[in-house]
Amino acid sequence: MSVLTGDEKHTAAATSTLDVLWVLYDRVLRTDPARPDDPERDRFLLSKGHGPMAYWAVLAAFGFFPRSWLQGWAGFDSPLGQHPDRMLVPGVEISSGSLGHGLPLAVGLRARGNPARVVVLVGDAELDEGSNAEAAALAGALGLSALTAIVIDNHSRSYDGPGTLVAPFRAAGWQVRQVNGHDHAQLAEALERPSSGPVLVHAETAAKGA
Amino acid sequence: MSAIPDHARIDTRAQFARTATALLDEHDDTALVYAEISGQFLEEAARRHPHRVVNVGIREQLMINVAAGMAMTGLRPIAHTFGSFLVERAFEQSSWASATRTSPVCWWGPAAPTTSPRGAARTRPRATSP
Repeated sequence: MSVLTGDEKHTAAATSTLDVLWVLYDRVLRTDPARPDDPERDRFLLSKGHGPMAYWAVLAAFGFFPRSWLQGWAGFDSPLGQHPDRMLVPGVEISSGSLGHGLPLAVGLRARGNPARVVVLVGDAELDEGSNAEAAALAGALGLSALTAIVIDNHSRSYDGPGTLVAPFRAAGWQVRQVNGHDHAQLAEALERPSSGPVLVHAETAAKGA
Repeated sequence: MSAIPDHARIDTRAQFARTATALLDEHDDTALVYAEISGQFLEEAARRHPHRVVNVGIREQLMINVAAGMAMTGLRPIAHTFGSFLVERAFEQSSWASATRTSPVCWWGPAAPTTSPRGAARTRPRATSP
């Protein structure tokens, strides 16, 4: 990540996701950088697409693209933009930047009941977008399995009351798992433990600006 | 006043349901995502193809992205609701799905406000003086 300079306003957005991303690619997701389009692969959707420096660093570390790409990131000719583009980078499932799209897309990916697992990463403030509530309600109503949403909670919300972040998910029938978003053991356990329905992993991280 | 010609008396939603059901029967990769609208016409389609027909409830934005997500699994979904809701309510979702080529989603929306006999209920409210 240290070479990915130039987007310092999103440093917190990146550092808050680094541990989660590492655990996902190191221990949880069934993906193969040599076969990024394998139809049987698990799907990871980065919905919180601003400040993707951690995402780029992890994908490079696991061999999805050459590490040499990192030096010129966000340049005019670089495939590594300030928001991920699924048409330009191997291993990127969705183009993101506008918030509130990842979770609904994830629900669509699981709606057919195909076996691949779907994991989507959202931000706490991103959950302000009503589209997330729609998706959570439907996923709960359909009892979608193999669907995990991870919310990175770095306390970015303007209206941040206790319990309010996860309440809509609980009400919709999701299983909610609370973890320290920087603790790899806790993250791995929460992400690997089976569930018959959708799961929300509430990953608390260092507060933005701390 | 001239009589309404027979071809104009077709209920567009009922005809859509017949066509969509036939497509679902004939093509294993066809899917249908709708937002409550036309549900009464789509019961047979949902019964025959429960894994390819999804009613998301009155959630048009979700409808577009669920269809996009299903398309990412190789299906060719039709997203259906009233035309005004389809375009206006979920404009960002539909433009995003198209621009990022997330989906080959077909959008079908009948009953535009000015053509439906009940269209007045769905036209924009008239501006009123404060």
